[in-house]
Amino acid sequence: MEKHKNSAGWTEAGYNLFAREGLDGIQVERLARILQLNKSGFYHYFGDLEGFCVELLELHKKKIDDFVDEVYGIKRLDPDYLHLVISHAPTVMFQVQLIRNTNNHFLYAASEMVDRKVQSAIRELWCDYLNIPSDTSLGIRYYAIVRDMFYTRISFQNLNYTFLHKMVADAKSIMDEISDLKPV
Amino acid sequence: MEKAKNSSIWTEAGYDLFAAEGMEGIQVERLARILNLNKSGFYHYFGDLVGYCEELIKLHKRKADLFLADVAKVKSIDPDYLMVLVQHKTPCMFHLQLIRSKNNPQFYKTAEQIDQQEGVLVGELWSEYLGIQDHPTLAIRYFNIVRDMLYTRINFRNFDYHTLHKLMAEAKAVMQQMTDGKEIETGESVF
Repeated sequence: MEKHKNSAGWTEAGYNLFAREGLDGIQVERLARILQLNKSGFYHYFGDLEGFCVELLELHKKKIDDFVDEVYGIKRLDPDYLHLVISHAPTVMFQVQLIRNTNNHFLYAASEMVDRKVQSAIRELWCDYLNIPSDTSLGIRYYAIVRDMFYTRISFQNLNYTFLHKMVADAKSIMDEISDLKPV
Repeated sequence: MEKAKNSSIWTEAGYDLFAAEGMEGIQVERLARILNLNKSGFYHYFGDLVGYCEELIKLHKRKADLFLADVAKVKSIDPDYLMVLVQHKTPCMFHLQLIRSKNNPQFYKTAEQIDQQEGVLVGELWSEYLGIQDHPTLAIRYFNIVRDMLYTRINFRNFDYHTLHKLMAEAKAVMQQMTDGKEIETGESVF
């Protein structure tokens, strides 16, 4: 129990660093300094950096599961889901960093799994928001495009309601206007 | 002249590093090692990292001008524009790193200005590509989303015509599905 608790200190600190700076931010020296602990603890718990990253991904999956549980409890995309995203800022930014680490297949594959989980959870909310039926592929295909746009634009600084609201409202109005055009 | 030539070695090397890794990739030690040069040269030419980054931005603006000149000549989105993107792969990746550097307003502003110029140049072709020639403003708004989607999905390894074509085709298919409800499978969907 004590061991678990101590190793959790390292992973929580590493998780937050990764969310801010990606894999480059993870240095044992630095983590030890932040936690005011001896580096030997790190090697004791995780063996090496790779072992540590495996634990970070495990932690990410847990946090995503909590996030997804909450998604199933909310009613509307705007504002409920947007506020949920903001309240899980480190988890969201950790996911953004995973996607940006395209050189690392292991991290990238983890990001894809998370995207699929979140996508299933949000499907109904998103289609309701766009006012389209959720039984066709359109909603989820458009969601994937808008989500990837979000991944490019988002940072800790702009992860706030005004920014997110504008982003989804813009995506909705583009879709509304395109849908109003005559079929080509 | 000699000075410009020598300092450009530093900026060209840094440009490639920045394109691959962003600001984190820029370390004087590392650049000196790659170039087999003494660090003192770096400080002589640029003073410090801030001065160096200003030179990188200037270099990027020059490369962006060449890119935009090529974009101005294209006759189609697919394949012409996509081929231009592939030809300018390193500046495109540098550009992407600028967009991700939200902590640095100068980086972000530079990227936005270039994006705007690009939007003006491809607007018409893009509306044609989507089949909504009469709605250029709407087409550009959609283009801004699609471009940022591309930025999330491309990297140095997959930056080729095949990848870009697939992503663009998916964007077009989704847009057509909005107007006529027909599903066109592009193999890009992830569900």
